[in-house]
Amino acid sequence: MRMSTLVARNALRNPVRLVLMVACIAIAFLIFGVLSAVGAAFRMEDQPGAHERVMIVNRNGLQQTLPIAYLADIRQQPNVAAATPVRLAIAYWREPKDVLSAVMVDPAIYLTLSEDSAVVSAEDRARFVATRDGLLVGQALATRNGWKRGDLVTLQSLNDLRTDGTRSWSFRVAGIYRAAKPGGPELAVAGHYDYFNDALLTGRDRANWIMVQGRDVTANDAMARAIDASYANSAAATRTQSEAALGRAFLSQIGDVVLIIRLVVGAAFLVILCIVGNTLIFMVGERTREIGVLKTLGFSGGRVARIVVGEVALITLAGAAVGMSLALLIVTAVASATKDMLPGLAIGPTTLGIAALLAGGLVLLTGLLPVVKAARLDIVTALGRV
Amino acid sequence: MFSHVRQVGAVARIALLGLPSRARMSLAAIFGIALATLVLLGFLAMASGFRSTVAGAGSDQAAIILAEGSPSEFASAIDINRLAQLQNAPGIAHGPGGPLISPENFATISAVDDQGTEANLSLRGMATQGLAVRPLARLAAGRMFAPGSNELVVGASLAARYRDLKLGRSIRLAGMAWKVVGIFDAGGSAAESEVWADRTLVAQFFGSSGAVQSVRVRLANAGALLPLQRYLAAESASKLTARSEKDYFAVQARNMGKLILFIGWPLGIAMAIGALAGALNTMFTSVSARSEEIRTLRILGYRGLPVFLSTMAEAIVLVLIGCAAAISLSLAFLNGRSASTIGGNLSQVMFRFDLGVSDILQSVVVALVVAILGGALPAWRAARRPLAAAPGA
Repeated sequence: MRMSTLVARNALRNPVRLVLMVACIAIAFLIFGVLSAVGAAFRMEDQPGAHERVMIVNRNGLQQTLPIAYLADIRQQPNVAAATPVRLAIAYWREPKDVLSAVMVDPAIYLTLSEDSAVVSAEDRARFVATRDGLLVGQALATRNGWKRGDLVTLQSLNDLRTDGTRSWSFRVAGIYRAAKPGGPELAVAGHYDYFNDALLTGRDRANWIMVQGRDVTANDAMARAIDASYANSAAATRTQSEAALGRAFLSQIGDVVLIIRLVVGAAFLVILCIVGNTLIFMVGERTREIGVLKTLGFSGGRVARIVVGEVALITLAGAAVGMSLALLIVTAVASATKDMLPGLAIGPTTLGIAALLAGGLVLLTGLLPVVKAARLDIVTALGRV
Repeated sequence: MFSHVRQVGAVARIALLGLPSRARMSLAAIFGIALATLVLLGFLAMASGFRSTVAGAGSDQAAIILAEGSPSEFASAIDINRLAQLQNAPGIAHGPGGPLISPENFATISAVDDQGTEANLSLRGMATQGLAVRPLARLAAGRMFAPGSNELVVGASLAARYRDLKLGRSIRLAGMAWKVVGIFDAGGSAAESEVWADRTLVAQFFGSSGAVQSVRVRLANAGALLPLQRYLAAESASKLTARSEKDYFAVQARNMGKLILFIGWPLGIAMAIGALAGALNTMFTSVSARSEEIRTLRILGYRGLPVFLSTMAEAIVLVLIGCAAAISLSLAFLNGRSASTIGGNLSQVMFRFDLGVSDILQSVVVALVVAILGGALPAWRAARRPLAAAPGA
């Protein structure tokens, strides 16, 4: 009889117990998978370009703005290849509740810097850059609102007032972008910074952040320090960091979500460690006699241990596989619903790697006591028990 | 009938007295349910605490005026040229210096807390009437800022937590030093997570001149809101709306609490399912450990029902012990603990974990569901086990 047969037969002997243990482990891995995906999305771990693109924001927070005059200074920095201002406008089209996110930018540079997330045809690109009141619209938004190229649309801003006393901004749809990744966010619009700024009464000549592409990524840190140092004593001090670092900083402000995630995942694993470990010890106890028989037949302690470890590994890996598959399903479903709020929600290779390590650790921890107990069992005691 | 009750009592006693002999598996089940309940209670307490902190910031004796269609103060802009007409609006209380009106705008500032972590906080620019306009706020120490000077009045929650914001300290903002001259108390509500300063200075140095975001007014009496709303509606050019402070914050609180519960409930339920698998496992094990005992009882003439109920009783006792442990732990260590998260202005809001009776009841219900589901199947199996085929025979 092969060892793998023994392991499989043993595991399947009590199918209900097997299913329960697998379910228990699966739940812990499910919680781990989903929560890690959320954390990774905020940290923008797997977002293309998030570690290379540099954002210059006001030190006082994303709600604060920077004077547009900074842009010209920053473009003088030796490592800066391209820089665009980004001004956020909270606006709506017809219904105040359908708020859309609009960015006002330097069109040509912005399109170049966001090439890895938004795809625009050469024709649309040229038209958007050349049209002063042009608007670049996400495909999904254009479909939803029935907008076509050449349409005149009027957006109402919530935060900004125009010099003419109104909040109405008229734009011409100049181009449509598609998300580079299928299923990516396509609900935003972009317009020309100059066109927007010229009509502004409130917060004129200011930008929410400046987006920079460095010539040499390795020189980005030095560039960031130089920029921040030059504005340290001005009215609007800056904080320069990669897009990914900005996402991390934002995450930490939500209230140490990472810590909460670790606590919850830790609690879940503690529970299964306890439940599964105890069940396995109980199981070995239940099989005392047959382990005695195996040993009488000449199975060494090591071989008995391997049979028990094999069973523990089988149960744990089955649970981990089921849990991670469920997590994958749930994350995929949630990601398509939240792609405009939280793009990049996905289970990446890092999460899968950690899951594999956790599974290995779990086998070691839950298996240790039962294996030692089984291997040390001596025949006389085992068979002497009735 | 009576013999039935006695049978149940006797078998349940045997099962429960046997618990210590199955201590390890029983403890695992208790531990599982306790941690699952703890996670759920944590999220519920967080949501309740956050909600009451935000909702507690509003009074029905004050009104907040926003641009039409604006969901919150942070997404609103009112042309300062429109402010003059509010001076004559009906329903507004009068103080010694004229009508109690405070046009306000926001900025965020960066400050370092006692642990040395830097975070973003809300700076509210207001008129000197700002304090008189708010029925729920009062000065706890120091004085109000003087108009036109770089002075701050800090909410008590922030002053307790940020080393830069203690009374008498100075903080560098927008390239100059600002002195903390007063601390205000707002009953522990979300308003205490703000820093107040003169609006004209905030507008000048934080790039928001030309408009204010909201106007806070003190209402003259309980029925004063309606005339004010009618007056604003009649001035169709200005496009302003007024609502009571209480309503405004109640809506904000609802939206905020939802997000925490949206994360907390699925997590709590997933943990409960894990605990359920653990409980089922424990109970099946218990039934198999008690198989000899159950067989003996059945041979002695005990019916299936008492055996079923005794196993259920064991499951319920285990779950209730775990649940009680979780409740006492969270009451001892979680309740009242202060925490902070990001609020509507992308800045910190302090709140306290607040474990309400309804939160505790909800967690007990979840635990009981786990107990009933986790006990029923093993109990049914125990009761239905044929006499001849009991294992070990």
